[in-house]
Amino acid sequence: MEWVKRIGRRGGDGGGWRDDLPLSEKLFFDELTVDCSALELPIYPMFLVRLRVFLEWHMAAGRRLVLIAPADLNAASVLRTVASDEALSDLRLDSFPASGKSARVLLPVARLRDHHAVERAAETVRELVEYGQTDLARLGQASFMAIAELCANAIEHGRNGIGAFVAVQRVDGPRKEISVAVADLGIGIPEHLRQRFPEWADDSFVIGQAIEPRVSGTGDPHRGNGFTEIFETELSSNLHAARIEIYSARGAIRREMVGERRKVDPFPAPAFRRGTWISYAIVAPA
Amino acid sequence: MTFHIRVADDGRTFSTRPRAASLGNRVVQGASGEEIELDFAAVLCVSYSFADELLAILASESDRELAVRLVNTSREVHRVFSRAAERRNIDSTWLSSIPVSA
Repeated sequence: MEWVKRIGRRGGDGGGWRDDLPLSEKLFFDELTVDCSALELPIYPMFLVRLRVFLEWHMAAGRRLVLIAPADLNAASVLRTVASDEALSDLRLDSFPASGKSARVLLPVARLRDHHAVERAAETVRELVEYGQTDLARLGQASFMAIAELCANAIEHGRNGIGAFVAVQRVDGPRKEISVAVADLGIGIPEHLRQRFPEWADDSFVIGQAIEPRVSGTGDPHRGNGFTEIFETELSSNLHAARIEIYSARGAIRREMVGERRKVDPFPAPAFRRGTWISYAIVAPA
Repeated sequence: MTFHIRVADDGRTFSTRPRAASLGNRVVQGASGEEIELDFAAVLCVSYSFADELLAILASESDRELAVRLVNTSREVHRVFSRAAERRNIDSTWLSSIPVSA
């Protein structure tokens, strides 16, 4: 039995779609086709990370997978990078360009297994931004700090069978930006912090606390400063704005910084998300 | 005698706690009551986690009275170490010996 999952036009920052097949049906299909023919740019790295996890999940269940390319060639070249990892070598590509590279993709979706992978990801992106993207070169330091801290958190607190993932792209919208997506399928921020603060019930509230200094689930009074230091680096970097969105369990927050102004908005998550999913965008000055 | 370590021999960017632990332990094991100079020339970036872990290891050896100096740090590397030291309430006189290059 085959199931066809059709993706819409937008590959949004929040992921934009979910696994909507009823659980009872999942037990019976052995081939999955993901039809991305309608997909257009911009495709954000969070979309690619969600797609990768989705594909790996079904591959691990023994299903044959087919990915249909977007009709738009630029979108197809971005999406093609998802399949460049050998973990998806059995994925059948339909109507894709031969090349697995795109100038927009600074770091294709990569699995993070250990701290060496974190080091490589942070250094690769810093080098590509500072030397390969001359108009965004000033964002190299902020990119490095964000990838280092977010990815280290993902592998330290998100241990699980599937692992953690990172992807980085440049996105050319009204302003140029570096967009980073980091995800893990571990315990998630709310449950992790509730081990120390059991009275914190609301998931969005807990995530909001997690970005405050010295709030950590480890019990070490010197830990829990990673988010704060990412934001501090924003201040010392010559950037126009930055925004971070964090989804975990039933909670979500968005934090934006423009110049000296900051705004933090908790909002209800559209659906439960296992683990922690973070989008971080660093926006270049005009 | 000064125990001098060129950090850039291990790389030009440092981003994780295990990397800091490796460097910190090498410093602690190699030194014996002398002045230690960690030379950050040509090091481009360090993450906050790296700086925090390295300072934690060095500070834990304070009873051995090791005199540690971080030299040739870039402005950005110095900023990150300063933040980590501030959060750990590390003695400012110890930190004041960090010279900053432009």
